[in-house]
Amino acid sequence: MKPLLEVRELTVAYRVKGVMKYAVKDVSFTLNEDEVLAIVGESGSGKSTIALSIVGALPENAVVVRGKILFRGIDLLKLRPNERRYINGKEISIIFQDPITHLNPLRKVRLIFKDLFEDHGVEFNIQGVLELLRKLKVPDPQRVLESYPFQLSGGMAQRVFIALALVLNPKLLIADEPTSALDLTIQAQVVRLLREVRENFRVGMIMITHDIGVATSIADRILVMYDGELVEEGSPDDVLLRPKSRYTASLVSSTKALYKGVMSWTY
Amino acid sequence: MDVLIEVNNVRKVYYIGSLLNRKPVKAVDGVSLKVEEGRTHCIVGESGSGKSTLARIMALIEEPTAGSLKVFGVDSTKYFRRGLSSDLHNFIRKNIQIVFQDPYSSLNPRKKIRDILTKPFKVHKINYNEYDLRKLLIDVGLEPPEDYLDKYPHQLSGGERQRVAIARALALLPKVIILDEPTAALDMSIKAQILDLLVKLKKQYNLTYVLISHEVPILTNICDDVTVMYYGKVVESSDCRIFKTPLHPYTIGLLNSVLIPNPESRTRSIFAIPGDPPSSTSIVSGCAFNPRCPLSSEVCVKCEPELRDVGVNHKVACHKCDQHVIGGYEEYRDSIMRMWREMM
Repeated sequence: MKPLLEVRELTVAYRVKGVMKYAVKDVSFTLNEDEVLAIVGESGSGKSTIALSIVGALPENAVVVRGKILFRGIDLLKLRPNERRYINGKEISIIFQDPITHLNPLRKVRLIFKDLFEDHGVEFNIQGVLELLRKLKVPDPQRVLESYPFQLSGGMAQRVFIALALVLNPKLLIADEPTSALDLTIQAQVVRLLREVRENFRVGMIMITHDIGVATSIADRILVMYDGELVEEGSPDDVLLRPKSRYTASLVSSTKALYKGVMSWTY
Repeated sequence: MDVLIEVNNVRKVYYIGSLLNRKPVKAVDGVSLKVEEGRTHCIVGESGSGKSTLARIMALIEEPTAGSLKVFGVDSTKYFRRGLSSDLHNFIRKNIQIVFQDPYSSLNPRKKIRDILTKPFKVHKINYNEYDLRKLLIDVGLEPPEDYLDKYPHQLSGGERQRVAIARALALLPKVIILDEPTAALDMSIKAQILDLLVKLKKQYNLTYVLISHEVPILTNICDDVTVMYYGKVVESSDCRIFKTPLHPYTIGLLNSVLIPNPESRTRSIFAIPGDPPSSTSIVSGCAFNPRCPLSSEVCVKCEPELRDVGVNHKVACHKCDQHVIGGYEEYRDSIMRMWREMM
């Protein structure tokens, strides 16, 4: 397996009222090609800061103190803005929880796709888009392309959003809390959809989540963050059954305690 | 057991859109339920199902458009009006308290914890002393209390704030606390702590809970009675046996959508109910669930199912489920899941 992304000794701090607050401390990990990695942690653990560092969207008061993020050998932290614009969307895509707010409300879906192609200097290929939408099980893709985002149902918007992330064949897809605060049935739909993506597209995926149930449903490997530090790395089985760190053990046991009424549900 | 809150055919309609293009949103559409003393009554549903509106009606915050509400055996419909004050009115208000979902917005950021906790006493003109405040904080696990009394909400973590909100609800020793998604905004380990706290307080203070939640796994730990809502209506209600033998196809689908943190879940296929819930202004004829339901037939599109008894303390609003359940429960449930998997 070839490494797609190598994060080495990443340390990120936020400057808050003149004081440096460390959000990510000395975190190193590797993502292989076509691998799905979940980063699990509670709020404030630094998991989203990692995602934002990879896509170069850290807020102004953030400082990368040290470290490297190597994407196919290139250090993403050293990119110039125009190089970053080329890589984002084409090589690396990110999806968020609420698709509607991330789709331009004034443009039809077709034009949103067209903008994306033009931004990256790629010829607009509507047949490719249609095929992708069909692959993502969007019924009546022609009609969807001629709709405005607000005319789409929640599930459809999520599919269109994922199609936008995948249409330029990125090597890495980052999903930043794609399911938190969603209702159970919608959460299940999104995880199901990401499973389909993982099975049908050759793309490495990093899933940022606080929900260990979501992580184990989709990931090949799980990283657990606590207070900016990487405290655990292992397969879903290892994390659930043989956690090494005390924090992971307590996270797993409190989750299992909350889920004890449903653990035996296996229809 | 005494019925503390009786909701009878309550409706709440909001209007959205411009003056010329007003659209009704039926947030709660003919809901009846009873909350019995000493129980934890859970109202389950997804966003848009009307569960929070129902909670606000039960807490006498929101006035229903139609229907009646009996609290402690007294018809409380008229107590929604502001300015009306009587001993009975005060008694009812004092005995129903509510804890909101987001402890970041439910506590006044300009007030110290001390002021937040004394407010209920002041509103109801009840004497209190320093000891009462300290005891409240100790009871919700904020110790030592002197460390918290003079802090502002922003100095506390989310879990601590939710504890303060619970302490405020407890201050007047109410009979009923309505918990509107009390753990939804919290991290997993904090959820577990707050849940333990709620269980402890219920015993200690002899409380009755109405718990509004969409987090099915969590409420299985604490519920006695369950009411499942979909699109403003009750589709199924029972006690906690509902988690073993759900009858309404929506309840079956909902329970099967839980992502269980099991090692096997990586290989197991993930179930999701096909389709989307209806949007708030759309009008679905017949049963609101029929576009997504595998049992849907002509009658489901034509008439709306009544909520009717199907067993001891078990009500379902479905035309089809008992015809199908005759062949045995497991067979029924598996066939619904099978049909759904084929639809996907």
